[in-house]
Amino acid sequence: MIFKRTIPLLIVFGIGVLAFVQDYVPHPWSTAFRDEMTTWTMVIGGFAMFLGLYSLSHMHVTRIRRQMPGWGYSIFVFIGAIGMIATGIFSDIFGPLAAGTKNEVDLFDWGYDNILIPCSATVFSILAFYMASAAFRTFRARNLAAGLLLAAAIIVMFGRVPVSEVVSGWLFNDRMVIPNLSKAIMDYPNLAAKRGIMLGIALGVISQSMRILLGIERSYMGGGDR
Amino acid sequence: MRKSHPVIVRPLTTWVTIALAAMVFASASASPANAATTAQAATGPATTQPAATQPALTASSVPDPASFRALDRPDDDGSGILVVWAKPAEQPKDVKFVIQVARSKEDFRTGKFKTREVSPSPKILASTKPTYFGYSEETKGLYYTDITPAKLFCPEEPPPLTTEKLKQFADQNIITPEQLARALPVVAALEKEKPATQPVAFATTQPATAPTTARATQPATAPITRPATAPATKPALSPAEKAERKWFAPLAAYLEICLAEELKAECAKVNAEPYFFRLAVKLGNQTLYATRDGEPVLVEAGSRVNFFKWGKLNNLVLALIFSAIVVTFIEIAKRRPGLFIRKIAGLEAIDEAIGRSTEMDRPVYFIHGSGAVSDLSAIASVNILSHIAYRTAEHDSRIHVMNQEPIVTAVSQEVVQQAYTRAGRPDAYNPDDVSLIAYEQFAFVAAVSGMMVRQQPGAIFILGYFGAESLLLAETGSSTGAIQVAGTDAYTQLPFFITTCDYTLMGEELYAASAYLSREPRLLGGLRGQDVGKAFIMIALVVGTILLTVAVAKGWDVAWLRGLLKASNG
Amino acid sequence: MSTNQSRPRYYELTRRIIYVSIALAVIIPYFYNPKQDFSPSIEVRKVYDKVESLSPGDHLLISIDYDPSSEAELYPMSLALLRHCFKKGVIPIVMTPWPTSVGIAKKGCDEAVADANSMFGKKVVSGKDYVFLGFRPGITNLMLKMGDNLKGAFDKDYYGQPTQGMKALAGVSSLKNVKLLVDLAAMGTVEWWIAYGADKADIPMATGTTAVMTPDLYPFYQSNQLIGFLGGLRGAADYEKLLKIPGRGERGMLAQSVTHVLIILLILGANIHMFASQLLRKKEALS
Repeated sequence: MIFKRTIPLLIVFGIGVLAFVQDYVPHPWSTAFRDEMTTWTMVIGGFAMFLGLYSLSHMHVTRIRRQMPGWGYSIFVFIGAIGMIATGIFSDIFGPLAAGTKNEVDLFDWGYDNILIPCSATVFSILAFYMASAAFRTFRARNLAAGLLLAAAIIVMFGRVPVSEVVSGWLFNDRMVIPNLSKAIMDYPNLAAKRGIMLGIALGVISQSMRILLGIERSYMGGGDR
Repeated sequence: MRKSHPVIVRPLTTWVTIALAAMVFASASASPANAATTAQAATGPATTQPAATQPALTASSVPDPASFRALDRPDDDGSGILVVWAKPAEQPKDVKFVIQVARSKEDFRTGKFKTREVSPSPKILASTKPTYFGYSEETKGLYYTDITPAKLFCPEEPPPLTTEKLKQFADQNIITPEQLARALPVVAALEKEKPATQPVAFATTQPATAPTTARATQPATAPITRPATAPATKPALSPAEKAERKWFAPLAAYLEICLAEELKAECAKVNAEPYFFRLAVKLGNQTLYATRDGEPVLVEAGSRVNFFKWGKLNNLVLALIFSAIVVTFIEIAKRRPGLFIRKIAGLEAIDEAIGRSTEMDRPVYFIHGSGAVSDLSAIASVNILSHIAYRTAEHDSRIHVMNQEPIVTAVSQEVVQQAYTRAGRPDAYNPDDVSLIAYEQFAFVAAVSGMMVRQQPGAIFILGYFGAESLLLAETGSSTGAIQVAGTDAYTQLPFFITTCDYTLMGEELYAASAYLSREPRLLGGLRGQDVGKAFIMIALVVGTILLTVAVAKGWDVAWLRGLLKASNG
Repeated sequence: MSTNQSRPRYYELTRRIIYVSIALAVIIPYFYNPKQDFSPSIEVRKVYDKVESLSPGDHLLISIDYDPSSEAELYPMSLALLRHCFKKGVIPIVMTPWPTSVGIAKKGCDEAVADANSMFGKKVVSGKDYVFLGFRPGITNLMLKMGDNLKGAFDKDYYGQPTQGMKALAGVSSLKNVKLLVDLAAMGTVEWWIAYGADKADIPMATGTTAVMTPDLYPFYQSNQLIGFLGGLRGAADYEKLLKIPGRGERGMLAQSVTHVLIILLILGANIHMFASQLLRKKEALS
């Protein structure tokens, strides 16, 4: 128990208080402490990758071995991972897999530009469809509040595109009426709401941090008891 | 159909009033007057230099010598000196203030001093730095500049590695004699290849009137092009020479760090010395000094290491007060358990969701956000995971936990295992049910979406910090018909969760989950302390707004009021 | 709200119609490229003016905090910004704290360098006219370190050249020597850069973000922690308009206009359908 709970809690409290005090002390020792902690965080974060790699590999190997539903996709995980790692290691500019100096693009860059970028952009662009269907489903003027939300959403959406200036010019003889209205909604009610949420979250962060420093919140240590 | 709106219900009239006021205000702001804001905006700082066609410098262009002083820069690590002087009566166009810095009075006579030139502008007014100079009216008539002696008297970069330096390192036992013997020929060859560089100089001699802030000369290096083309100056190397250079490369990198550390130590020593300052004004070829009794005024100051950032005192006091409030309420809650906490619909629905999932014989999904374990949203999510895993084990159902971050995966595995053990079902725990899916955002969402569509979970919990993947996950989950509970402190994603999920925990409701689910008095006390802090902020907002409004109407100067709650950069 | 029991039967069909309509609304406008007249916003104008006010040889730090998925919105911004820097002779220092952003950052630098040659007749050289520092881990810790010692945080650039003695970084020992910090972000790094970068080093900061994140920038913009920002593809289009170099931002405006109008029409149609259904039910109930 002393190694599983007490010592970790003491470390958390000690380092937490030191990090808090460090922000108020300009002495070079304080900066040196912060730099050292920064370096250690970077080192530990790097090693965490191995943990993730093991977890990922173990899960997919098990799925392939047991031929669980969808096990074919697990093969692609290894093909993609091993392929990119191999090209990354062996494909530096002067390596055996380097493209000719004519266009100075190596295989790793090719994989990045022609596989990763299009795949990521494709998944991201699904958002356009999902947003449209979510908006279609949600923006119904069932009551006054929903109606106001609907009106604000339409004004902001329309005000952000160039065609709103054209329409504004037709309707009001002033191209900037709708864009300015859209901007006003962003500048005032949106800003007020965002600030309120941010303040609440900031206080929540402080309170939770206090609970962690004082050892009241202990779930991050992996145990289930508080 | 249950309304998935976790926001505290307010009377309709309140909402109507707020919404109408917002719309009226918005339309008032969208007046033609605002169109002017889109016109070309002047962004340059205002300068008030009188129009002049090369006037001569006069005595009234020189600052008052009595106002010229130098002092240690407060709240720093001993690297800065502030030099202050009053605004002169006249400031011709293009005039510059010249501050000369020397290590001793004699250095001024021999020309061994450095110079800093400063153009007058509102940015260098002492009133822009109230943490240094306070809020008095006097500061509006003072200029200041920040001098770091090391930047003037030390080289910008460490000296290059030479054979002499290598021998010094060997004498200091930083490298072994064997390393020295092997490295010397390599360094000697590299020295021959490079063009001759000036040795690093400290306190280079400057002529008395030269307005320069020159630093030590840089070693000449060829412009860097893409490394596919080899530099033309390198001669062909033999395989042995290549091997030696390859061996030397990591040692050279380490020794360069040592050189940088030496330079840093030297700079610290230079900063700690006292310095003498003189002030002059310069316009074209004319220079006039601030003088007393016919001699340029000389002031002396040294930089000292400070132990506390007084500019952040207000920040520290507020932090301590808030912490004291939280601790006090924790103590109160220990003595008086059963503190009231309002219903959070999303957390109330957990049992219902898991029960439904069990009835349909479908798994429960728990999807972590992208935050690291150091993020509070991840810690809060882990708290809820513990509760959900326990309930799932009790119901004899299956839970899949999807993670984006390796350490969160490890923590989640531990938490779920503990939860199953507490529920008396350690045999039911399967480590493969808690795994890292992908580190990259859209790879993660693609994998999880596929799993959702194939496995058709009965309940989905999406908790943590999310980016654009939030809507993709929630919409896919919605299409499977699962009951969805989401929670995030990423307020950009809240609208997406609210529109697609049955229940949403917004911001601090996620952080309150551990207190809510456990009902432990100490945690509830912390929540109550947080609410008191929020009340304090609301009161401060209202009172501050009223005070500032009155001050603007009456023409009072209340810069100190703004400064009261603003922490300095530090 | 989204349980199976409550979903109407036409839900699946409607969803598919919406998806096809959106696809057509995005794809078809790309076959046309009309000249569009729109006014850049004041927030973008402020960023442009700030860069325009820099002198040749001044340094501008660009942090690439987006990955390939956000390329559509943010890559045009980074290209426009780099082109502006090369046009003015300002030295951009490009870096990223994310490993997945290195490729996209490098791609932007390479394309902007090629454009500098073709558009402005300037031969831009790495290490002299710009520097691409690549990736280092640590995010907030990296920002803190750059605030103290930039060359210590990046001892070599992406191409392996030491930063000590590099001409492009002459006079830059830390963030304090940079004239403007621009964070092109699709991740939540804006607040971190404000707190650990711009505020600590006391330098002005601007940002370019995806449209979804833009509403969050207003508090910082109003409190002058940001001098301006570029929001989404429209922000990129505004900057290209000011720079007078059309690019993908302007090109996407027609598609964006059509798509937004389509979504608004779909929402209005759904509401009309809802009200009509309610009226019909009331009539049936009365009769």
